Amino acid sequence: MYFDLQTKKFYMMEYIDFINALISTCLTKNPPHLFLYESRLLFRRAARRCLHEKNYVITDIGAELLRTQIHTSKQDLSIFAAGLGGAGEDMSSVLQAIYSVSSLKNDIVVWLPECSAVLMKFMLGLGVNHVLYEDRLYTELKLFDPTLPFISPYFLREKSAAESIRRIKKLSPAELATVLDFSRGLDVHAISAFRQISDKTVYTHRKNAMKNLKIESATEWFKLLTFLKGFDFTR
Amino acid sequence: MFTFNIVSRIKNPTWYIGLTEMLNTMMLGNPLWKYQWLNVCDVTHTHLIILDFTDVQDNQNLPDQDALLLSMQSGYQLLVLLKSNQQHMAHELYASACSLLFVDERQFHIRNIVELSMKQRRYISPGIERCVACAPVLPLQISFTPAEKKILEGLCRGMNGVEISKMLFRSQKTISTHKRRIMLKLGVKNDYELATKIDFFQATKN
Repeated sequence: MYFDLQTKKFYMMEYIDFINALISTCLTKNPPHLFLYESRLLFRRAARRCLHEKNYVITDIGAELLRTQIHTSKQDLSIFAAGLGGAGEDMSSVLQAIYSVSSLKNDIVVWLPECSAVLMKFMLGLGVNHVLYEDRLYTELKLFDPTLPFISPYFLREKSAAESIRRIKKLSPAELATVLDFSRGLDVHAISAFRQISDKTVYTHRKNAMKNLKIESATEWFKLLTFLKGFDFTR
Repeated sequence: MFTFNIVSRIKNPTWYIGLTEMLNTMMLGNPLWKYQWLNVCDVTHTHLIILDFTDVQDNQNLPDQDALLLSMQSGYQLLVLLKSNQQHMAHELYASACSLLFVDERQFHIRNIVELSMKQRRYISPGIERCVACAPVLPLQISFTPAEKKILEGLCRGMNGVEISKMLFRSQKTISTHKRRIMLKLGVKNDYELATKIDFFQATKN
């Protein structure tokens, strides 16, 4: 039963129709939901504006909300967008969140600062399908289409990188945890003591992680670790 | 009604859109205040000129027009955008009179920039302050031998010991010894710390 203010009458049938109409509009016109993590103000405003033009419902999330927010949205078909350049000390929690979202088969967009191709490889290993270059954020985000995986041409300048992207496999949770432990500056013995696993297991995780990410040299590996540490000059 | 005139020399659309959005928000909060982007660079009628140096490598080969603007007395009319890995540029520009802003600043208020330029004072963003406060620790205090310098160059380019040994026609053991001495001088224990140190020095050099 519903009371109409203009006609001042009670209606029964119309109400059900009204609800049905509401449900149908919700179903048809429901815009895709997007979670945005970007700690830098200027980038956030530019990204918001661009995504707003594409009719996404945007929710800003900080690092502390990453886990909870994303788990509540498990049922929705949603997109997760993150800028990693300003993540700083929150880097590992952002990466963990990206990994958990990607296992829910959601689309993930990530933009990276100027850095080598190894980072792009790592993102693909986390299950990210759209990798953008942050200096061209606005132009590349404008072209963003969830159905088409996109990697910024900036990261494909090296021929070897372009060739290896197709062979990259997703990391296992244990491999990711090991990479993150290494990026904190721990050595193998410290990790094995901390995780209560054998030294050899740690070595194996590292070896498999490098194999899955198609990291060929130790230099590349150290480059990755340096970035993941969240080395940040402004703070 | 007051109109704040801004001349944009921003090449990167991301910074432009970001700043436009922030200025729009400011306009919503202050009904008697508005801004407009101008195309002509006329110093008498503009309140702020925004230059984009985020893709400039060093101070020496700037376009003439930009160099002229930088030498201008009224530095508060000039806002230079930098990225946080351009520490060297930040240090050099701090000596001139212009306002400075890191585009990857986590938090800043566009209101401060506008207000300070009206008060004829320069604006320095928090990141720049921090960067200038801690003078770059260059490895100048540490003296490397010529051989060590060559190897350090190779390491900076991301080469490993074997590649350097092939480049310099020295045995791997020689390279390894030099590298050990470099690590000793830098005070690092393993390859990971060395990579971090090298990354830091490269960033401060830029």
